[in-house]
Amino acid sequence: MPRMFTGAVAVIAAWSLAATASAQGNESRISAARDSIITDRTLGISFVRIGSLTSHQVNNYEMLLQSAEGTIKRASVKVSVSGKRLVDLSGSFGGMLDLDDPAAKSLLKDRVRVDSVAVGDLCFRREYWAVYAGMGAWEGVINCLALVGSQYYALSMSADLPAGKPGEIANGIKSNAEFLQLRVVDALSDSREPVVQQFNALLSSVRLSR
Amino acid sequence: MTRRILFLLMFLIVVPVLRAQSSTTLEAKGMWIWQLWTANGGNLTAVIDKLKSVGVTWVVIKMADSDSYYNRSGKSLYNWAAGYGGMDSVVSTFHANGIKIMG
Repeated sequence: MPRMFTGAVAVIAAWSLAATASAQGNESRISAARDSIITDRTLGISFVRIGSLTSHQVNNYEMLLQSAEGTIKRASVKVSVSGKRLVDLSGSFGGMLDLDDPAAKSLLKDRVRVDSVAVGDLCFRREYWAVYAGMGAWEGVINCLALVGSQYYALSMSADLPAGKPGEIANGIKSNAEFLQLRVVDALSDSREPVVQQFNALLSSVRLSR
Repeated sequence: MTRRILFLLMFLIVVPVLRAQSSTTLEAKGMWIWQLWTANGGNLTAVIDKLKSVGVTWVVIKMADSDSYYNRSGKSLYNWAAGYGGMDSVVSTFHANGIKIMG
């Protein structure tokens, strides 16, 4: 078999394993009503499905959002339940960052804005992150965390934004990192953005069942 | 006189070498890939097919940010590459398809 096809075979094998595991154990605890509401009884959470569901593991779901309109063309959303305070910084840190880990200290400067949002009885702490990833690319993240008992319920949307290089001169104006960070956060805060609208719909749909 | 000849010889040898080093450039078409694990839906074969179809012969893959190395357990790149036998295997697949890798 040509070497270039070995990866594809591995993916198919992995998919088959996941499908088998799902059929054997997970199917009974997850129900998707007409694919629009995801209810996970083990995690005690239900939420509306937005975009396409790209992965599901024991304690998290990942969905892909795409829009031809607006500044944000593509974003991924993770819904997770964990004992840790996590934020999805895949594009910069390279994965889920534990906010209580010493490694997070140097990145906290990129958490630009914090507020809170109430969803039913839940109060989410909402954080806006803007992290420079190089080559003019920025990772913009809305991270919503609610602590219930000893578990953090997290909804994290990560978007790729080509906001520009710090120090670059555009239209005669030199852009510094702080200016570009605000540009990223403004895009994430813009309720006219289709991707942001979808994320807000997800956030407002969250219900806990424990 | 001998010292002058030696100096001249050194000049004639060193300057061309320095010039050759400073003019080293990346040739042919290449590109930077930020999040390889999400490119083309995370399908390595599709990524390589796309690169070959547009004549890309080298890519720079983002492998770290500051002191955070991506090819470590738990990181998105590592988890994705595991499905292809690990990052070494991913690199070999690029090479086998005539695409050089930097990262």
